Amino acid sequence: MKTEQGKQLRVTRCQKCDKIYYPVRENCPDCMDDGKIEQIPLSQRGKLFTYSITYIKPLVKGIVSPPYANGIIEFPEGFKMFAILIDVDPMTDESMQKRIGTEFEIVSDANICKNCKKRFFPAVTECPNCGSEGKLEEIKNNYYAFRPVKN
Amino acid sequence: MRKVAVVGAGMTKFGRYTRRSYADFGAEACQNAIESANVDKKDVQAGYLGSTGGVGAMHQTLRDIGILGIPISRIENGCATGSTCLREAYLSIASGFYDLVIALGIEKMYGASMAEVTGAQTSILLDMKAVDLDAKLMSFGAVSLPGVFALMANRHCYEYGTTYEQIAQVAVKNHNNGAKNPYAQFQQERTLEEIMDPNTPKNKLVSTPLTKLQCCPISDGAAAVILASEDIAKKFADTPVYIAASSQVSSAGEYPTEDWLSFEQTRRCAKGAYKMAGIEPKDINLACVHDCFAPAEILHYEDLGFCKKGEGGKMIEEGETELNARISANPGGGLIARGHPLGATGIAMTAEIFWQFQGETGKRQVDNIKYALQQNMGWPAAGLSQLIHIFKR
Repeated sequence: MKTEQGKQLRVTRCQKCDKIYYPVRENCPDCMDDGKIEQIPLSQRGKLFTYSITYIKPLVKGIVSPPYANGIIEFPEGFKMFAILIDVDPMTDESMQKRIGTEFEIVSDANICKNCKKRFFPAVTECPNCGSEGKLEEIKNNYYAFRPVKN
Repeated sequence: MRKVAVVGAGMTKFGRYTRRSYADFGAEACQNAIESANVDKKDVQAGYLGSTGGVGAMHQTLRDIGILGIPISRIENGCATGSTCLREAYLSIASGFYDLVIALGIEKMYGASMAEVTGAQTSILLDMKAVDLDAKLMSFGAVSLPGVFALMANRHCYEYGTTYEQIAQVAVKNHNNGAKNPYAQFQQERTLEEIMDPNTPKNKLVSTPLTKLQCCPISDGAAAVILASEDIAKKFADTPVYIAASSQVSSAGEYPTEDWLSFEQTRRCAKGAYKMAGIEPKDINLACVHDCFAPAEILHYEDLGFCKKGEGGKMIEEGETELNARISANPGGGLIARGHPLGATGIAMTAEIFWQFQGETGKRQVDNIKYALQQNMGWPAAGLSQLIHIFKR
């Protein structure tokens, strides 16, 4: 199932003990599941469990540049995972504290402007450099981020 | 199992020393330890090195100080490398195999990245074509080490009403203790305002609520201890410091914590340690805990059973862990002020506890020590390693 936000994150679930693992695994380390492990698409939305505004470079370069907000998202499946948070202006501790418990959705689409060769993650609808001159094309992206769900 | 005692300790000042070699650091720490115990070098039966990056560092060290022909092993376990080294050295005597061994922790960190120092760089490079690194990196790729504790801190604030001031107070205490420790990397007293204001000199925001002064620095340095069996311990020290418990827990989860509020591994490890020593948390009045980042110390108070869950912030605010209060926590300045050369940290905790029991720690002396505890944890790029040792006279 592909949603309009882009590809879905796949995780593994142990059919015996219900635990969820990411990245995907071939067995459940908790109960050594006798092969009863399945890959399932994770919910597209989860709730912000905690956050921090980070001013140093992340271990993986090129996803975000500091300062950026990051957090832990708790999914309806009970699974918590690390997340980069986007579109959270104003990015202050006061406003982020209020977002704990609110819904965030996954974003994973990226594109490139064929005119200026600049890459965008998340994808843009118009190149901020070239405007309507730029021709946008979807590109492969292995990273994802989360943004607040607008009510 | 035989009883094992710490009978000597030595250390170098921690700091930034790009022109000092591993062997240079090792020799200073080992010589000091050997001299403090008045050990004949010929009697040392084995050498254990704790170092994530110092390949061959103890071979060079022992050659330089004239200890030849004994078995030498290097132990690596992330930031818990030093305590893991102590444990292996302890087990070698407790088992009855040796009577006198030396445990050395060394790290050099200035001039290389954290990933290079810990070896993670190499394992990622070699695993690149074998595993889905995108997924693996994404699961932790954009979080930083301080970030893990920043995320836990903010959840702790949300859940229990812990304040940023209480978190910063940990750093105030540890910097002020460090000011009394000649081996500490930072020996300057700090006020709450200095710790919290990112715009003061030498400070900046790292990952909210953490400022740089609430984080351990990267460090170069070494520490060494001599361990002896009970039968011969009195020959070397007036007050041998016995290892009453050695407990280790390793977990394999993708993240170091599941609830992002505490470390289940610490609780499990502490339970084992208290049981082995036959004591309760209230019997501890000196603790060297793993304060890699200020909120960590608050989480450890709770997980070690020093206070109830959620009351760690209150515990620091009420001064219960100040020098000579109910529990003197990190009298040597902890990782935040003494510094954190990965492999040396666990051994430096043991050295601090040994000197404290000898009454040799001057202005940071803890009076009437009953039981002392050292807690050291590491995240060797996957899973978590937790080590707790308890010491008594």
